[in-house]
Amino acid sequence: MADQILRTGFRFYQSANADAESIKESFIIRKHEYEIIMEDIRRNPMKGSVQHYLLLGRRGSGKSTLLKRIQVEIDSNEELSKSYIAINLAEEQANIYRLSDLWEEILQELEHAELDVTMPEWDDDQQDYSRKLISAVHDAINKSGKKVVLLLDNIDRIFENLKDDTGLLREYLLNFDDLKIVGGSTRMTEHFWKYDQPFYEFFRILTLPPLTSDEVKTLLLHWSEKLGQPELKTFVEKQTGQLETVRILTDGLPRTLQFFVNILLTNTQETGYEYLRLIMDQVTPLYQERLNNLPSAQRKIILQMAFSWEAASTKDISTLVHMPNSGVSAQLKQLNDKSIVDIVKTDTKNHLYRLSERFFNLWLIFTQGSPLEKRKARCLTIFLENFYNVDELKQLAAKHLNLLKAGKLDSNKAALLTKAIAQSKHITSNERDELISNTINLKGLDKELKRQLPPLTDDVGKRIDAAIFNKDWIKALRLADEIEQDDSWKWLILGYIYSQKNNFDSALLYFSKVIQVDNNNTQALFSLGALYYNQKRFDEAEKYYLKAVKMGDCNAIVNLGNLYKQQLKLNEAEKHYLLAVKKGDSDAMFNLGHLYYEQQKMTEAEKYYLLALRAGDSDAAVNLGHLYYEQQKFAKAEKYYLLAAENEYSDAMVNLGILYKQQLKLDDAERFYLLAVKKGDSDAMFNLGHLYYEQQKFAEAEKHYLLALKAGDNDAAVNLGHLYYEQQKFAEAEKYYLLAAENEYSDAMVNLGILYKQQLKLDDAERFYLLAVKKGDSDAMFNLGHLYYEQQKFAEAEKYYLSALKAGDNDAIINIGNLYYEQGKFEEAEKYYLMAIEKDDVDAAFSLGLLYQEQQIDDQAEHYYKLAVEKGHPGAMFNLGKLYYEKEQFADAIKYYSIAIQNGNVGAMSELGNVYMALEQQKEAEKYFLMASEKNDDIGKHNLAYFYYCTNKNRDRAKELLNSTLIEETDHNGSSLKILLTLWNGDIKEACLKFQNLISTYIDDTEAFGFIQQTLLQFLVHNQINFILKLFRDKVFGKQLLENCKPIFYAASILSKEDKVIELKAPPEIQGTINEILDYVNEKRNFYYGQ
Amino acid sequence: MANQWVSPNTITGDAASGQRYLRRDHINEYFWREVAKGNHILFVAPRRVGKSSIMQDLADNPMENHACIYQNIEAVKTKDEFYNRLFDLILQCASKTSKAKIFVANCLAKYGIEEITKSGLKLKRNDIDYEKELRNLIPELKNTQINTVIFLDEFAEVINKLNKQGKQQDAIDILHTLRELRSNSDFKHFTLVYAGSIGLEFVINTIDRPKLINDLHRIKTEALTRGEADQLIAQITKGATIQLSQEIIDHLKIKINHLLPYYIQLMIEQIDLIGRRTNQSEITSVIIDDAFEQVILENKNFDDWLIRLKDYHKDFFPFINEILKYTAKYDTITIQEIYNKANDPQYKREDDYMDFVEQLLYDGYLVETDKHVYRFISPFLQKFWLRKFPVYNG
Repeated sequence: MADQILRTGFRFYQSANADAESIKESFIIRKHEYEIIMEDIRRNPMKGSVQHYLLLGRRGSGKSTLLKRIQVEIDSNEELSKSYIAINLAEEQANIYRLSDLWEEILQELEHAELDVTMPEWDDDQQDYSRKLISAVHDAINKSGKKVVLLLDNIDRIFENLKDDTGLLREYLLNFDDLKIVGGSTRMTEHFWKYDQPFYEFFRILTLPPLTSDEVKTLLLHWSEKLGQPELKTFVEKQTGQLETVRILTDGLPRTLQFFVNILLTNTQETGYEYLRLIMDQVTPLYQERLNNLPSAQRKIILQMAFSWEAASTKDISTLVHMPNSGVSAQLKQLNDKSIVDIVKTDTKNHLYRLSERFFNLWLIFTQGSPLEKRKARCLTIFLENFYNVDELKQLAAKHLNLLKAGKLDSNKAALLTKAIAQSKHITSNERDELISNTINLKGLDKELKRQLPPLTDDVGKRIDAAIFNKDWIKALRLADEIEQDDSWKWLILGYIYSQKNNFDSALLYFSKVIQVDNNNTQALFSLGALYYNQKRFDEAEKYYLKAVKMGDCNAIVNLGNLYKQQLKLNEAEKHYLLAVKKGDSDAMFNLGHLYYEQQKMTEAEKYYLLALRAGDSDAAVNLGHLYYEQQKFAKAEKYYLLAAENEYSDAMVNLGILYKQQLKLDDAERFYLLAVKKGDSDAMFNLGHLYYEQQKFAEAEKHYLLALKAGDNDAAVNLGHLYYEQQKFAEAEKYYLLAAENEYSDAMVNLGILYKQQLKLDDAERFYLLAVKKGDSDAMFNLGHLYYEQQKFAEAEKYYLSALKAGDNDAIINIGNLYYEQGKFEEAEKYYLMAIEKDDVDAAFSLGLLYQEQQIDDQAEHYYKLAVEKGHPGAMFNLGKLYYEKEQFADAIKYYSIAIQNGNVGAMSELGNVYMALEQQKEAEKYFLMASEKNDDIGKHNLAYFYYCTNKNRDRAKELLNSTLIEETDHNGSSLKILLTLWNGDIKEACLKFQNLISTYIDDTEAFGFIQQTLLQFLVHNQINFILKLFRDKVFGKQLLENCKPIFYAASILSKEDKVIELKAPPEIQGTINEILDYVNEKRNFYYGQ
Repeated sequence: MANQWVSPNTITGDAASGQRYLRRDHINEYFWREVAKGNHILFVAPRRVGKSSIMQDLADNPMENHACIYQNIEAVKTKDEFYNRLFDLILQCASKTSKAKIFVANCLAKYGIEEITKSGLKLKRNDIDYEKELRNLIPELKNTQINTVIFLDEFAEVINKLNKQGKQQDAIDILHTLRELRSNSDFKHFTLVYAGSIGLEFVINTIDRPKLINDLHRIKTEALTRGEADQLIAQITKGATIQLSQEIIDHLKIKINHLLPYYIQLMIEQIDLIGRRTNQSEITSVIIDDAFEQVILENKNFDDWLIRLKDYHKDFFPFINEILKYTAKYDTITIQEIYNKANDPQYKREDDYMDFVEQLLYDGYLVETDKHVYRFISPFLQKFWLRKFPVYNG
């Protein structure tokens, strides 16, 4: 039996056809699921409730075998076969397209089982025909006294075909208890989980998970015994690591596992590649069929997915297959439905996809990828590393190298294995380089394959250097990481990258790792010294430098010199520099020169700088330039700077720029600044920006400031802020002030405060002023005080004004005075005003005048106003005019208003008009009202319009004037005047409506009361008695209006003449007022209408 | 070892019966009281709540002088098929009792019926106008001296399908006819019991005929009480290998929260499977937690519940989701809270908030537990929601 199985191989699929006994015998796994179902069948004889099952598992996970096993059990067990008929529609299920097909198949099977079956006649109506079949099935089963266990593999496909008829199937299952379904499916289709599908949560789902290690062992041991193959048992017992690899690579799928077993039993191959290829050959028929069954687009997609090996996004895949995202997405969905592709869910909407079966993936790479497919070797590496342990892999590498050297291998196949082994982390970089260099030179090696061999470590080193130079740390680390071998070489490189990146801990880790395996590694010792030095851990640095010096490293001597200099052990430093100078080290000469320069030993400094310069160290030229510049030897300084500039030293160029600017050789300065700018020198950029700014070349200034800023010069941000502010580009100004503020520039903070205040962003203004105040900026204190003052936060305002005053800002004095004044602290206000007056502050004189005027100390007010007037304060002139006007000293009022007008005070014009009105000099009055209105003064216009109304002339002009003013809704004066003018102009309906609205809105507003009263009178003047009486009767406000304006009501009533006795009803105490009103109305009517 | 393992006797999917069903006498008593009053009944509940099990149990255990038949009719596709089915069911039901012998004999003769089987009638003729004949048949029932009770499971589904297929008039006709049959004083001794997971009222509202069912007496399908859940667990785990202490059962109940029999059975199955695979018969809270996670893990399609909402109620999704997020976090939500949310300026749904609540009930997301208190029907869906929207500040 064992022989027979070996020769023909296992029956891996179509297990429904395998013979009963062998199925029983070889049924080793999936026992839990089997037991659960069988226990249910035995225990519950399908009377009432029937439990249906869905077995969910990948291809080859053992579903069909499990179904077959159930069938075999029911068929062969005496008890069970009395009660149950097992129907296993294995191959037949391919014919099921409609529900009737399923019932027909069942009926046929029942017939096979020798049941009394009546086949119904064919009916065109599918629903009717299905019902007839159902009835026939039910009758047949019923008559037999048995129940049916229906085993349906690939039930998902059947459900797909049944479409809407699944409802009828469910109806049957719920209404009759004679059929139990045990289905197998590779996927959970929507039939089982969608709420609106009949079979929503209908089945008990049993998932067949990947086999566990124990299950794999059990299975293999079982096979070992059954096949009489002790090697298999040995393999299971001794090669546990490899066994686990096999399990993982086969996804724990029983079917794929069987392929491996066949290979294990026949393995005589030498190389891993051959070994793997052979396995692949075994699975090919199955996988080939799977591949062939896919539409070409899906085939293309899965091939690319296989080659990329890792999970990939839709976007990645669409790039690889040159298909639109949406198309790929739809295909992936279908592939997922077919269980070929798994979705790896991510946190975002963009999920990743990978082939479900990893072994299928391997197979695709090996069989479908071109022989040169570079990923092929990568997958081979993965396989080798999983399959062999470290020692075995090392042996494999050595063996391969020997074969390579002996020229015993086919070049291309050898290259593939070289690549695989070279990429393994378990061999050293030396071994790697040896393998690669021995392979590169093989005759007949394919060019493409040669190109794909991993680079030699030296080449990698050069590329890393370039990346470090460009500060592309990620690239540098990635390059280093491409070296799979974890040894000194890689550690030194990694340490170097991290030290350049200033990542001390990581650098230390890698350098120390090198020392641990080779404590005399000069490079590592020196690097550690330098690393500690940079950390200012001088003791450790000294220790490692000394060790490196011991190993003969001259660089370490110079660095020791530097170290001692740092520690101010100048003699030691000098000694070590001199030691290195003797060895001809130019760095040492330069450093020694610099040491002397710092000690102001200019002659020695000059000597060693010159020596260094001669030894080829052109840095020395710059320093010589500085040396001479400092000694004011400008010609010599210029000479060495020029020399250094020729050697492209930007410092020298900048200094030349400064030198020339000092000498007012602005063109030369510009030229050298420009040269330095080209070299990316930020000082040059800033200086050049400033040079242009001073020359008012704003565009160039802007450009260079921006360059400087970009190059890291934060001073430039402040200057840019100023530049933009000056040009009123506030958004840009803000941006750069903010930047500068971040860098603690208090000027920028103050200017931001000003800018924000202008934009009414007061919180922001406050914030930045406060920041600047913290930096001790007196402008900020003053401005902040003022900000608070404006916000009526007097305590804070006082605090900051006082701080500003303390910091020497005299402008703060008057503001402090104003602050106290505002708070009614007149004595304090007076004190500070007087203090300010002493400092010739004219505003203070005005304010003090105002203070006294309010206190009604008129003579003092007059005094200080006059003082302010003398100094030309227009406000004082106006106020003095008003003071006299109120005291009815009209001549003085006219005098000071006139002075104010002469000094450009527009408000005074209208006021002067009023003075003349009071003096009944209408012409003069009109003159000044006109003057004010021409100055576009709203009060002037208003007064002029009213003047026209009162004088009953220029109606249109009056209306125009008023229309051209901005009248707020709450300006009762303006509103009522407007209504009057409308009335006066004859738009009576409009005027009435507006007045009615005005009253209803402001009836409760005491401030509006006077205006309403006045307007009511004017409406009487303009003969609107009935309207006025209607107002008094208004349901909403009439009562209130009457309360407020009773005399007018009586006057109106009397004027209406409707109520003959109204005059008698009026209370005697208001009779006088009523009469006055009537007189006024009559007089004005007469005036306006000549009645 | 595996051979000796005995699993709990659970049922998930089909209606539960026998040892796998827990009868709640108060439901049965209430039902029969209402039937005795002459009411026709409507069972209201989403899927998986246990309507069919209750209906089957009622049908299998009728009160004296009642003959019952239960049938799932979800596959009915036309008006005529429906009347035919109802006609068949009345006769199938009557044939189950000897008291209706004469009635049945008369019918056999009158309609040329060869045989009455469980799967239907076998007739010599095929020209019967079933709608008309129902009007003749039902009044005759009074002669049987028994009350015939027909349980029509998934009736709402039938009406819904007709409506969706453009046969709205057929749907309305059926409802009209049934209403007429119910209200006609000659048609006594006959009770119709409807059920449907999509909610008959909802379907009927969509065809704008609420009057056609407003005479039905609604019976809500409630979750089990804690004590009932204990009983069910004891019942289905009797003789099983797994052992659950009271403490563990309490933990399980807390986990499931809304104690619908289906979720209890589902969890017990999963617990048993883990016990089997790891060979642990003493069930621990860790196993229960694992089982809970496993159910969520294996049912990867909760996303559909979310997508469905987003698709159907695009513009209103934020409001609906606000309700669900709150419920997921706090287990329940009251109508006051929902109204409070509806009044939120960002939703402004104070006029139609109830429509959304009803949708959530009909669509099987929420269930009304106490009056105006709602919770997730499925503990797994609740957990899924909580995971999907972990941050909730409401």
